[in-house]
Amino acid sequence: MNQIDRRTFIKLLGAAGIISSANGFVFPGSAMAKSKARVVVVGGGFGGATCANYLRQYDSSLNVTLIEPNVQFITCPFSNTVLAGMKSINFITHNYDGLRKNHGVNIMHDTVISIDASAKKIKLKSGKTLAYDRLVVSPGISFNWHEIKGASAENSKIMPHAWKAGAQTLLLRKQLEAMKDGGNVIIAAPRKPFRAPPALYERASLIAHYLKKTKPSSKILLIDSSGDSEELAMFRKGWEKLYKGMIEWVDGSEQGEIVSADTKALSLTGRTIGTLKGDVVNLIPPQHAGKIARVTGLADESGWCPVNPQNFASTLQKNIHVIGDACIADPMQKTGHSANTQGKICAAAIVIELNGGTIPDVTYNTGIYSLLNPKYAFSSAGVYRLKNGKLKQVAGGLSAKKASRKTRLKEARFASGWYKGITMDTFGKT
Amino acid sequence: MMKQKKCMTRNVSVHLLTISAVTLLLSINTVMAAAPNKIKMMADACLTCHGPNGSGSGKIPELKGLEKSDITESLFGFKSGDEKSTIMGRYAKALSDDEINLLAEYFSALDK
Repeated sequence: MNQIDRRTFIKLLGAAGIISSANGFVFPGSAMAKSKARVVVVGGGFGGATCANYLRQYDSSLNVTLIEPNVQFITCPFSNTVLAGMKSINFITHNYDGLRKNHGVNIMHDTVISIDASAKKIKLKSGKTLAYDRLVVSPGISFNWHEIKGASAENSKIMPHAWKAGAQTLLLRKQLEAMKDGGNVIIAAPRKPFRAPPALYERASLIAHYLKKTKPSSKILLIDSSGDSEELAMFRKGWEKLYKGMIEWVDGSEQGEIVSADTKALSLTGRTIGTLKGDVVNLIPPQHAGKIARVTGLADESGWCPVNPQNFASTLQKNIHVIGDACIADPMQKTGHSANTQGKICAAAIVIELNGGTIPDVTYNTGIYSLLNPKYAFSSAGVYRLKNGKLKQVAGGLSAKKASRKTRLKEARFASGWYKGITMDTFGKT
Repeated sequence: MMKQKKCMTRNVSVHLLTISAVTLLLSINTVMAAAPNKIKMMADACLTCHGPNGSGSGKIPELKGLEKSDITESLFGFKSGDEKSTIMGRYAKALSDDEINLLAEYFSALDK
């Protein structure tokens, strides 16, 4: 019997293909041990959190730091259930403990104020400077207030957008609760591209679900700049069945989008649709990539960030990748599921590039569930592959147009399963 | 796990060490690092809905540790449309036959 000490034990573990990581977890030797590179991820939403998580899963030798100002992340997916009073804000609130404890991601609650792409350094609000070998930027969206006269971050306290979940979600919920029966709710959407377009129809549906129970004489006016679509037709059929006469869809396409907002009169004006007055006004402004992406030259004149979809590398700045809502990854929609997919593919691509190898041909999956009420849902799926450097849809589509209530119920249950799955996967929960 | 490692720092035999190292490996399937390759990346795409390790998520079924033939049968069925589904048919149509076989192999090899 050979007696061994700790050092020998660790050596043997190494020889057996097992290496120990700093956080006490043990990783099999199949992990690439060559790189030891520093990867900094900016933004802890579905894109950034997933990317940080999978960078460590794919290569445990990487030093991965996630920079996110907030200690908690409140998801846009399922935030419409909070508006409808179906779920509490806690249900859609997540923290970064899973990434830190289960995956060894360094979490810094700080804000990036500048990126020096040539020196490969970022400056933080706290005064710290961080050097990186690769930078992943996943800043989500910001609002283009100046396109609507009278709209501003300040005025969103009167006309909430609730298109970034959190205080705005709670504010809109409060306004809906305070509204009298027979009141009018206006939901005004911007022109595309914007975050999660189908969520707009889910929002109208779930607000109608709440009003039908508590204030049945109320109405919803939905001003939609996207115009008609197959998806909208499915919703309208559902609304006819579930909320007859409660939701009026206003075609805001053909320059019908909102151009001015009057917070005193609670009215909105569109070029072709005139002025509409509401009791609760949910004004969702036009959007572009999160500020840090725009001020550091990652966005083009469209306000969004062009990338090579194979590795999500910026086409404008070296050694920087952009994922999630901020990047241009057409025809993938800007959704949490898309960001999660992009986070994984970007993480894999970075690990492969750092260690040498070829990025394989894989599918890019996305999906979005939309609830019309707690027991009635549709889904939209999309699968894409790279062809000649561009993403092309190879499968997907909407739920069956005709389906039994049982099928819609099944999809509503899958929506809950999806939410649990994607949040566990993204935030590294076990 | 730390407790297990501490125990191992005391006087133990190489024999025991080997057994424990294997146990250690088998006991952790949540935080394993594995180099990305085609099938790992495609399997990881499934986890968005099916949850970490393919353990299932709410009403979305578990994938890990299923019989390989059950997975291939379902996926080929979804792809052809012979097996009814709400959403999987729309995803499975994108997969090649080889990819279906590899995914089935991957998930069936994970510990239940």
